[in-house]
Amino acid sequence: MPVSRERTLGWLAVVAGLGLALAVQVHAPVGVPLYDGVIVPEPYRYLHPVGEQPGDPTSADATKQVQGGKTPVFAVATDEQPPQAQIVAQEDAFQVPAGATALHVTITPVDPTVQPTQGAIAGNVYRFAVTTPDGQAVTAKACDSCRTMVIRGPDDVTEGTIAHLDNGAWVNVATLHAGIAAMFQTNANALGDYAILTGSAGNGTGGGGGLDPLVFGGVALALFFAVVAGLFWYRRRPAPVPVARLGPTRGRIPSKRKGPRRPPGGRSD
Amino acid sequence: MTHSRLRSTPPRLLAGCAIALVLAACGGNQPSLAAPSPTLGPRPASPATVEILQPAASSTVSGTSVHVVLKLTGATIVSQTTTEIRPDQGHLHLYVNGVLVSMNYGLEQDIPVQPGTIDLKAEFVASDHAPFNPRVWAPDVIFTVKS
Repeated sequence: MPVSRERTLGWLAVVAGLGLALAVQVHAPVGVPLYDGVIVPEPYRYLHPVGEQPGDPTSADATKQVQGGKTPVFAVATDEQPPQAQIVAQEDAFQVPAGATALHVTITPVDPTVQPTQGAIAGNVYRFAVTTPDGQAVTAKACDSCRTMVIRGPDDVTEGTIAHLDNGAWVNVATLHAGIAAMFQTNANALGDYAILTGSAGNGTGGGGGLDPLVFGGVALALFFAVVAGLFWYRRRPAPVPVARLGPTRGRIPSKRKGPRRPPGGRSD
Repeated sequence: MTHSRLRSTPPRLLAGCAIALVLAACGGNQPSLAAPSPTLGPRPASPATVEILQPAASSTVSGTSVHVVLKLTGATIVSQTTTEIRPDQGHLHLYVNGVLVSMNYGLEQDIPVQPGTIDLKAEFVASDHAPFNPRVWAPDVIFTVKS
């Protein structure tokens, strides 16, 4: 095989690899630097674990002081790494009852009081509550993105929708992916019970569209191995047989070579 | 000559493909990492302090990324990873709503964000990526992103 063809093939393979990297960049642009540490997320903790599943999910409980008649900026999260449920609120995100000087923020994993009619609950149901110290419920104020709830599902949940238990029925709410595959967030308008639903017709507004990253990774891997297999096939082809140099004579062309001499006179007795 | 070139080429090609595949694998804006848990032995204390200068607390920004500016005092940032740690050397980890999104070897960076209210944390960690004891956290900054 000519060297130039090999070299061309090599460069084509490299360009194909770089093209693959570029395609991934275009598909999901990288906004963060390269990670150089290996860190394993804590496994999901189930309220009712089955078999080897981890249990004992944590709750969150915090007291926040009311400042100038407004609820303060706060972030409250469960203890898992990353948290399985959290609420982050800007100032004045809740209606302060008259006379209240502090708020009690809790996040608790609870049993679902009803099951969804579409889809299934993935992981735990979390109850988000904000009350005054004497137990009076605090309501959420209408605002634009001033209050975010983040819920993490079991590790195998890549597509899901956050749902809110509203008047005895699970209602899907606008959902965004929240950084890692099993984390979802919603800019909630109300407190109460929230869960991730899978297999339901979601109201998700982003993050879930496009090619599944797992499928994309699988295709990339298959492409890589196809290139490798192709290279090995190339290597195993037998080397070209060298052509004997016989000089500028008729013997160079086999059909022109002289055959063995036959005895003169045809048949011999 | 041709055959020897043929035999020497595939490893280089494999290396090229492997590098490209690794680059591709490193892509994506959905970090799959969680906050590291200190699993090593006794950890040293650090004289460092960290502060998030930007975005401002309680501010509202728009867009799909936010520019983060940090201030580090009492220590320097080093990029190499090593187990020979020093209390005054390390780098910064950034967390968005409890998810580690960046291991930053500088003091400024753009990070991807979603619309909503975000709890941004920054921690100065040792050169082995594990935290100091006590941990060196910047005060949280909570800000809102509007689409």
